[in-house]
Amino acid sequence: MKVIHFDSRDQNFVTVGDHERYFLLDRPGHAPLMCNDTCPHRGGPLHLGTSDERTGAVTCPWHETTYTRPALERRSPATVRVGTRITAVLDIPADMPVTLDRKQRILANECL
Amino acid sequence: MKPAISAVYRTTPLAGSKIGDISRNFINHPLFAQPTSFLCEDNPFRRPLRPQDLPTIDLTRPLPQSEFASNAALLGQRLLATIYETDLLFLPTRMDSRRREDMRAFYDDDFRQSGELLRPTLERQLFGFLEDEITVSGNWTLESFRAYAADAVAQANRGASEVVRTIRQARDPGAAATEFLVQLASDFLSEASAMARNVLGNYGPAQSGLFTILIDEYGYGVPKQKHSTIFEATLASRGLDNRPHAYWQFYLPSSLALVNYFHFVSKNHNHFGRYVGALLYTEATLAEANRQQSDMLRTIFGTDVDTLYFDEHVQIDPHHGKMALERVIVPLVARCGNGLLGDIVRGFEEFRLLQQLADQDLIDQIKFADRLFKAPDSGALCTTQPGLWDGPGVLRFDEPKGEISVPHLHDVDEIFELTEGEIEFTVGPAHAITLKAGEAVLIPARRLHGTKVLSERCRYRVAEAVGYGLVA
Ligand code: FES
Ligand SMILES: [Fe+2]
Ligand SMILES: [Fe+2]
Ligand SMILES: [Fe+2]
Repeated sequence: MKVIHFDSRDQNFVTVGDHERYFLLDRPGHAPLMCNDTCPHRGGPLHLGTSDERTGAVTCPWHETTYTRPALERRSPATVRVGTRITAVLDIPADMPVTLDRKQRILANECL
Repeated sequence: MKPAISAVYRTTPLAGSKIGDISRNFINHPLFAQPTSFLCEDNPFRRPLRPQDLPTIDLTRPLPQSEFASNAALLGQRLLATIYETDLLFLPTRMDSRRREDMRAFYDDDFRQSGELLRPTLERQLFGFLEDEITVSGNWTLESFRAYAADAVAQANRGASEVVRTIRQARDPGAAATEFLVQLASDFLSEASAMARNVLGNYGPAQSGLFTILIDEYGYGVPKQKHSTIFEATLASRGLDNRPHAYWQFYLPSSLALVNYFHFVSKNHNHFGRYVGALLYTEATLAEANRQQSDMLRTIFGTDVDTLYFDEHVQIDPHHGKMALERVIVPLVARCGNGLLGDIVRGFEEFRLLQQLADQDLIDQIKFADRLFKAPDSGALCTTQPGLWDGPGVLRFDEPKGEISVPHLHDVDEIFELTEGEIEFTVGPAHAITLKAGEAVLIPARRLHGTKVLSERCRYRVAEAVGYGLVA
């Protein structure tokens, strides 16, 4: 288990090794979530998908599978937000390096 | 956080206008009335709180985090503390007819019923901001929770406490430390009462886990070992009044918030997850905080202070931290499922945030108190700012000897000038100055202060000091 901290104004994307990616899904009316970016179907980038503001569901841009909010939560790391400070617990060894960055656009956070 | 309830189970909440009537009626109770002294000596039932402020305060408005230590928060926290504490038993050390009558009124069913009707409104007013400020999401398991809690506790236990640093660096560290002890009295003299609310009922092994912590807090049935009694000895060693709520009027809104939060999440058992989260945070971080506080007290007072309260917690709270996790949280999650972890994390973070906000409020108050000796210098301001007393917002007072202004605060900087007579200007039991005609003091926004008229007659005036770029 590895605990990471960042400020949501500075960062919104986490990469672990070559495959695992998480983005900060942040829609009004829903708690911000460190959402697993990899679509379980064929690995599409969920952060480039669309999301439903009311239900919080996200639709993958590749084959348009829609994941409900509870389904997204189940495959996303434990996350807490206090103000703009985000803490997330990743299910990886504590000494494993992770990269934090800021993506210019998280399409899934843009209003529909 | 109000748990979602399906429509059929929902009860219609009281209308805002009803709340207004109830609060006006409640707040005019004699137990809240004007005192004759800053100390509520040996009378835990008297809770002065400036009912005259109510018309300017809307108790139904949830305060944002930025107003956590505002005057509206002070009134709300004083009311809420009173309401919660009517569930606890207090007895004066000496009973007489006046105290007996106050006691009857404090525990009177009608008084308590009004309080209970107000309670949820006040809880929303004072703690509603926590829901905006903190959110929990994702897949929480016991494993991720353990990693998260260990990380947060290690973070909290790292480095020197800012409160301790402020006290040590004060011009008068002894007086600053005294103010610190006075604030702790709001909580420690009835220590773990909120915890006791959670040990009744029937909820499995976690109940016994919590009970074993409570046994330590209550000193195994030995009066001298009870944590509140040990703190009484600390206060006594510094010549302070150790009867519950002697210093009621001096409690900061943030000190009351810490006590009230534990009652808030314990009074209504829908919040039991939050309670155990907050419990874990406080038990797991208190030992280190108390170690630093004990050191500080001994450095400042030498052997003239009894630090056993702090030393006892250095010893026992690492156990309590472990017990809260392994013997309370683990069995509760086994029984309720991982869904409970969201509430537990929320309570953990809520109390952590409240503690940080309270530390800052206390630091600001101690710094203000410590500079008070310079305050009459502010008189110079009055002569260099001739327009100061012309505005429409200037308030003028004319008070008789002995008149007390119950400690309160303002949401903007104010200048207070005495124009006739003599007045005691007090910002804490260890910090008071006497002002004479022509002397003034600048009161920064949100700093607690009260006055007592010393001369036969006294006149003073108060103006907003915003925009003067002053530091008291
Ligand atoms: S990869 Fe996402 S739907 Fe196919
Ligand atoms: Fe204790
Ligand atoms: Fe404890
Ligand atoms: Fe005032």
